[in-house]
Amino acid sequence: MRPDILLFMSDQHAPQFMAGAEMEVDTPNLDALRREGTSFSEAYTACPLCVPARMAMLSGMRAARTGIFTNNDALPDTLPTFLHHLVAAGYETVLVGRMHFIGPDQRHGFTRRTAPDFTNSGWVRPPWLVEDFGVHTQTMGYKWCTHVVGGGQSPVLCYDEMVTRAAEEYLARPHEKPQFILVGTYGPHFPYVAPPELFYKYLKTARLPATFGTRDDFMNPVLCALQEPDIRPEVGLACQAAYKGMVEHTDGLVGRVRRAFSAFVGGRGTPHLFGYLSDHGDTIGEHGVFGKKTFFEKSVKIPLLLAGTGVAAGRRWDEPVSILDVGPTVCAWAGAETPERADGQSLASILRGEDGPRGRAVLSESMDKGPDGRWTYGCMARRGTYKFITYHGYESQDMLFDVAADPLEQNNLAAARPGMCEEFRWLLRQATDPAAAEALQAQHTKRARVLAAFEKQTGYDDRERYRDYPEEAKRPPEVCVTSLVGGPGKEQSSVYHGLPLRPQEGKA
Amino acid sequence: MNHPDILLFMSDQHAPQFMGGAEIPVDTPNLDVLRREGTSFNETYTACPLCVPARMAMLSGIRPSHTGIFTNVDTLPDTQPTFLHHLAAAGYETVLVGRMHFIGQDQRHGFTKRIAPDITLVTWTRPEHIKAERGVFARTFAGKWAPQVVGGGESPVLHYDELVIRAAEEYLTQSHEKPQFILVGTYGPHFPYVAPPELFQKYWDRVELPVLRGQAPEALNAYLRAHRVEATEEVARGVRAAYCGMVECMDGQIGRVRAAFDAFSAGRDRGKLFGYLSDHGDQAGERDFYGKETFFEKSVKIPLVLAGDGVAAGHVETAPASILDLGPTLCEWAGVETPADADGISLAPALAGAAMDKARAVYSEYMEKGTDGYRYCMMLRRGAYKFITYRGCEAQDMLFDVKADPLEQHNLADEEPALLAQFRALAARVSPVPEEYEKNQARQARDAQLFIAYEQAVGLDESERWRENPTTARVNPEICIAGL
Repeated sequence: MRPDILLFMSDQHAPQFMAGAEMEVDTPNLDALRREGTSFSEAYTACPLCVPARMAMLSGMRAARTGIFTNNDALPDTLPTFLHHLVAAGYETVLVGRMHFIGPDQRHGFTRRTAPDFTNSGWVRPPWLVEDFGVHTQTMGYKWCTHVVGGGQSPVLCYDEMVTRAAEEYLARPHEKPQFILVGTYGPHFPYVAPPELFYKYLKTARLPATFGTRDDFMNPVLCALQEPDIRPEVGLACQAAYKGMVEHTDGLVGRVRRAFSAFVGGRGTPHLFGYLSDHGDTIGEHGVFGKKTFFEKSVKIPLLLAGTGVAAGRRWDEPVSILDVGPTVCAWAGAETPERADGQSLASILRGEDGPRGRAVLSESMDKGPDGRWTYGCMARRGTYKFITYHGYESQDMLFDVAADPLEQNNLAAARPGMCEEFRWLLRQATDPAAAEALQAQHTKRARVLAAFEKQTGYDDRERYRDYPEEAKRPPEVCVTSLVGGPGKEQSSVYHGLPLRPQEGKA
Repeated sequence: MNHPDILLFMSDQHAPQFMGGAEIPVDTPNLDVLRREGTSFNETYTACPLCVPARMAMLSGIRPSHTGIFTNVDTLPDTQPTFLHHLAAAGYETVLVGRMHFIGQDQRHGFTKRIAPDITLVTWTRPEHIKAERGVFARTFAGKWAPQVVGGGESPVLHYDELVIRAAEEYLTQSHEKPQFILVGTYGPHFPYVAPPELFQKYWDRVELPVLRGQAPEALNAYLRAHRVEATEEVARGVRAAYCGMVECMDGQIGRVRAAFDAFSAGRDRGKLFGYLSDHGDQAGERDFYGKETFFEKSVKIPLVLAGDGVAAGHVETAPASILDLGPTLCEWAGVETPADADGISLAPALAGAAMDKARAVYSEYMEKGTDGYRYCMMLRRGAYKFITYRGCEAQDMLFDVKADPLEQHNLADEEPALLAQFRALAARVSPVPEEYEKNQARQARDAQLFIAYEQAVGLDESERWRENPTTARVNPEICIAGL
């Protein structure tokens, strides 16, 4: 009998924010999942950004092979995903909520979708986005993410509740075929707004990261362009409090979905596998960067926890693995064929409690525009406890960190360990071609421009985006640390209101 | 900004050697008029002598080895813009009337609307019920079996094309605000080889048997030999008669659509451009080949004629051209941005009467499937010469002087070693990694199986396929040279 599989995929959850981790957050449900299953403490995304990370996971292919490096790239509908292999093996593949598909193909191997996405599904943002998101129209973008911060309601919190309910409803009904269900939420992705009581709770213990507001000499121009040096320390604390609050909130949703899934498979008597992961993390002010897009640990690492029938309980695998391994692992576990183009490898033996691939070098890749406006390919490789980071054209600022001894990556060992750097460089020369990746990106940018112009002329297809937000989610949150001046729009700025010291009268 | 209205009439499988004044004369008064009033590109080649690859190459402007589209179960990724996206982005309404042979869920690829369905499969899966809909013609849409039903009478193709023409005429009687790019896609003269009875009779009395019929095929490589179909003299003659009849029938449809387009644009304050082309040809029995899928002239050449405001009248361009040039040409002529990655070039200077580069090399590509997997093959045309090579069969490379020897009966490969070496070197530059193209094809064939499994799971979407073939067009034709 094929196992029923459910993956809960959050967005932007750095695994350092969790019970027992560097940044303590109450996550009882993730804790239980870790106790009952196998956790991968050194899992990396393939590209620290939503669309590329997710498309790499689905296709099993590195970003440089598909050329999907930005949120304006899409997987071609002619490229099969690991979902197609599950379908061929008889699975119903169900998407509940978010996957951040761009373009006309909103399935890519999912046979059905029971809840819409959070972000726009086309090549351009529809002009009426402001009607749905209000003050939060821009706060999902990293340049504006600190502009509305606090405790209260937000589009993200509303959306995630809708998705969780859709998952609970789906699981309350009988289904014939073996099920692969992906529940996709948006939290703890910014805007940094948590439920008020959780915001207060974590504001009490918030502390600034050691590298907040710093500019180390290994920060190359591409990284410097991502920094926001003028954020007030108090706003940094509030962002962290809201983020932790959103992580605890997401943990509650994971618990609800897991209970519904357990009841579902209990009723069917089927073997089962439940997993939790995210697409990338959030550095929340570390190295002066909010959000992801860098190769620092809190940006590029992901939580990956799996539990179920036949999965080793309480096992922690601390060798590097990748989000690219998800497809091959799920296919192997389901008894489906392994996607032939996959760059990752199956972790099934580890789940069974056996040995797994050791000594691997795990890669992550990025593409950003530097200050010269040129697409710049960046790449990291993690092997053993070392992480090497290089950006094409900025090799004099290559980075080498011992992430076990120096998890906050403050001490660049590149100058001290030239031999190890050379080994990593040799390894990356075999695996990557920066100039080819940049050329592919330039070509995709041109194509995206044509497809966006087409969309503007012919109308936006907005059917797969959730739009039903209450008014209170479009206004500044009730506990409001920052709010907009002007806007919402690309020219918006924000004003700081001060940190609330205690809950107001009548609030929980 | 005054973008001209553009209408392209695109037939399927029309070899330009079958036409008024051509090697095999057919009465095509409307094409004759079009040629007199416009510019003809007499040496135009398809990018791949097969429907889907030729059409997707035309739309994307990208050659098959760069898109990986070599078979009728490959399709253009939805992330690849076509020249239609450029036209629509500049404000055109891009209208598909009838056929384009799209596979899978994207049935637009830059067309903003479609007003008549397709005749062939729109899915990765071949639906079981298509057999019943096509009756005796079920297998005759493929070259191997096309000579099994031959004659004069009704056929699915003749009915489908009439539906497409009526839809075009109707669309052109309505008023439309935006500048129009309209592609009218018919299926004739693609087999089944059945023409209207009176036309069949007319050409039965007129046609000659194809040359090189029933000759020893030793000179052909193994892949080509496998395409041969032995047919009786009577059937071969019937095929020629039916094919010529279908070409004349199609010429009448071109006349109707052109008249409707002229009437439509008369009331509009913009220029106009009317074009005619096909996706590939048909050898109609030459060398015992029925259909396309080879690089011989009747398979790989296409008609391309354009006429309209500002287009040189009666001009014949003899520099080699490609179906890949269509998108860049139309975009430049329409005054919109030209596709960035296109493998073709703009022929707009020729439309304005300027001379094109006679030394240009034009290529066409194909993917054979043998018992040992996929085999890449290609042709190059430069000057009067055409070079044909199949990977693994290089000992049987072909070199023809198609000007002096249009029927390609005299292989110069042994006599002209220097020229042969030049062409081989050029081929290696144009197609440097044939093994990669083959590997990619094998991977895509496996992908297709996954898409078929997916379609079965979610249910076939056949909303864009014509399914109304009348029962009278599912039986042997009234004049039946061959039948089931």
